[in-house]
Amino acid sequence: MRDRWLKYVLLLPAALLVLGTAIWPLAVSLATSFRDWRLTRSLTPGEFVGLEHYIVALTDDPDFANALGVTAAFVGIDVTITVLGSLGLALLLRRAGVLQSLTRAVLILPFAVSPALVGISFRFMFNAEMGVFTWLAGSLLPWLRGFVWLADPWASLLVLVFSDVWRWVPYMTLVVLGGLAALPREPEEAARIDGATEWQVLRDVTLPALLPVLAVVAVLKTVFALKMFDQVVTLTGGGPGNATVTLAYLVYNLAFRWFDMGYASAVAWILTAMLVVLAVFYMRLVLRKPDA
Amino acid sequence: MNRAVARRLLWRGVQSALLLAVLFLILFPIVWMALRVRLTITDVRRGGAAGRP
Repeated sequence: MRDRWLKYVLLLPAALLVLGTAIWPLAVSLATSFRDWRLTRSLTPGEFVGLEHYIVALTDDPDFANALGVTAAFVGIDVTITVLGSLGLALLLRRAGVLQSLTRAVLILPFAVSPALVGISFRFMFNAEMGVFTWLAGSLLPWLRGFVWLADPWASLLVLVFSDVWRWVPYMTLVVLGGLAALPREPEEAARIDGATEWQVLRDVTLPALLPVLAVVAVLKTVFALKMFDQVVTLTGGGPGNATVTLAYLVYNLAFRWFDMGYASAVAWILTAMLVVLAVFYMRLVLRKPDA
Repeated sequence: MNRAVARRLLWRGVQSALLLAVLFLILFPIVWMALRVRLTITDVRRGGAAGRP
């Protein structure tokens, strides 16, 4: 009898911790999303409005539609560059050499920098008058001389992508390098003996074997790109206009600038629903048996 | 020189140039951030505010 209950008693502290720090706040925000609660009017949640916030967000809110479009564009460009960049860099670093060892050693550094600091630093580096990247781009491409990067909607989005790619590509390169190291060498050697060129070996042998790792990289990066917040705050502030307002930044604005807690909770839950779908997909990829 | 060897050497050169560019892109912002923090600390110690954002 004692043994039967012991396992539950031992699990209780961890279960309570998860319940208090993860499940409870999630449940409260879900309940809030069905209520009308503006902090400027009341300190407690107001009347029950059902799915109204969700319906308004999905059908009748230009700010939400804009944030959804910005987030989709950001995720699309960011994930594509990150996956291709980390694959290319990992292939370059596969060979042994001094330069390769040096690069492998510094790969973790950008990921160790706080994203807020990355945003502030890139804002200075893309400053119109004294930014070093503004100067570099103007020197290499004369038609970009004097271009104000953070005042153009698409350019500011690209700067945001660049700052995120700078932080993530080296880290994802380490993941792809791990995947490359785990691949058996025999199929590649057999293809070379059969007369395949290096490009054919890469396209027909290495890449198909590496596809599960690349899929994990893509899904993981999509999850993190969907939650993009820190660099938006410190690099662009959502501007110019609302050209770089992502969904996470919109939730922040709704809740802590406009104090509309009910609607902010609903938008946050729409974002959470997208993340849950991706998380389930990610777990299926990771936990999939090799022969399945 | 054999053409295949020349091509391989050229490809190695391109790879090294790409890696150097990557190294520059990774390290330059970090060095810049470190320098900026150092400059700000020096400036604040002197009682100035030029280094502040």
